[in-house]
Amino acid sequence: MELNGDTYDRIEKYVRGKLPKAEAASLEKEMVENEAMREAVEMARFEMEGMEYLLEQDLREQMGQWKEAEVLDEKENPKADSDYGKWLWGLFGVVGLLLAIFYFTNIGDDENFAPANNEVKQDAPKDDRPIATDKTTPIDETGIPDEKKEVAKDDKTNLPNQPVQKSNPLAPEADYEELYAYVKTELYTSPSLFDDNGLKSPAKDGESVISKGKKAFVAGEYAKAVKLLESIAPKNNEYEAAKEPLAHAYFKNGQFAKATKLFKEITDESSFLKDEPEWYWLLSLMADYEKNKKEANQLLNEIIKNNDHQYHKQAAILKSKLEEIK
Amino acid sequence: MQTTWTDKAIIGAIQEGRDSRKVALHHVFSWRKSAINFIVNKGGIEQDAEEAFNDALIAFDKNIRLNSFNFGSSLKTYFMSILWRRWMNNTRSYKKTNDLEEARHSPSEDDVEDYVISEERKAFWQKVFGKMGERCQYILKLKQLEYTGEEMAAELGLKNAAMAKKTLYRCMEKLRAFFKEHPNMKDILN
Repeated sequence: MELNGDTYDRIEKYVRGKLPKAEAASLEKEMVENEAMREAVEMARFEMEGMEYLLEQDLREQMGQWKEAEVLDEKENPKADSDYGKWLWGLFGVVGLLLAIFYFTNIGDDENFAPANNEVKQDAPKDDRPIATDKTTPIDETGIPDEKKEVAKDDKTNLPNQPVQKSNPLAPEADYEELYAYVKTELYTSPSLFDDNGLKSPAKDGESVISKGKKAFVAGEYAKAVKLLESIAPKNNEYEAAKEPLAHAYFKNGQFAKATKLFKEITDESSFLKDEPEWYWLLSLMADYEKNKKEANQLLNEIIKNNDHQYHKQAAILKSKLEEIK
Repeated sequence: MQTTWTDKAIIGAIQEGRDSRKVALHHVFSWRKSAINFIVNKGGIEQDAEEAFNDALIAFDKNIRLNSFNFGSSLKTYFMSILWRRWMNNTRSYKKTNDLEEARHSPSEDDVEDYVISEERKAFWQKVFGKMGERCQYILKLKQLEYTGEEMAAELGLKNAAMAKKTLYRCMEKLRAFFKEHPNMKDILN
């Protein structure tokens, strides 16, 4: 078969990954049947590697120049780093203050900040506190005003024989099962660390534990993935790299508290790649929303407020869903 | 001109391949300090982190130009995954220094995402292009960045696209001739 100009064009697109899948498959079939075609593709790959080598050398030289320029810039502006550090601390201080104001002004907010069960005992007021003097405060048949009820949710000394009260006793019970299903099946997607096609092949002897764990995850064997990845000790070199797949395995295995803890840890450790683990941290909280309302709402609002957050849009959709369910 | 460097903007600029590619890569280069800190915080040494960063930027540039990024994550996350794997591979290779056989079969060479040309192959290319001259090297770079004939002509100071394509053809023929005259090079490249 004679190779013409069109064929060489196809070959060039093929080696550059720009040929549509069907055409690429057809070309690969031709390569099997036609030696001249195979040689032409081999030559094209060779040529491309050579040209990539030239671009690589160019870029390395350019990087050297950029680095030199950075060093010169630092010499001319020696306080830049400390100024940056001061600015950063200042920002943390402001954010901390705003969060504190946000928290304290929203204690007792029925709609959004019903405290989690495990915080009740710390927040529960003493029994001898006066009942609210605000005469407009609604009091239901238990004779206890709303703001006392919400913090006494699990305080049995206050309500020994009363059923657990919701933040607003007049509101219908929210059905969070819909939310949980939405979070687990629609919002949660596997991250790119599980995208490697090699993970679809069976585990081999001598393969790393992380790889085996990831393969178990990809195969849907989440309990097995958890067991494998948990077995990696902190002293092991792979321990840090195993955290993220383990957190995802926890999530898919329904161990949301562990998933929350680990995603939070990964987020805190990420100097600037926080968005993705932070999103999964939120999803882990949302997957057990009834227990994590306050923390979940707080994190959700933070992500929504950050327009540059990678998951800003998804967070806004989640909030709408949450409002629908409530 | 101030550019808002969204993922889309970075990808578009790199794929465009002209001056915008260098500007975009310079922006990505500004991630260097944080990336190095990331590796150092994971127990790496700064020198290794620098080397891994440079390798990662090379691989990142190539993958974006050749459409290997599938938008499964943010661009920064993608870059950091390349960086991490480069550092892990470099650290593994460092522990097995001088073992060319191991380096040739190391996972990184088969992995599209973080492929960087090995030292052995670089030495080969250095020899090839040393014989070809700077003009050929330049036009081959322009070809790889998908410059049109007119753009190549403008860059090289040639009259028109036809002359640029003729120059390119001659350089490609030199390259192919080298490959045919040195069949043993196939073994290095395979």
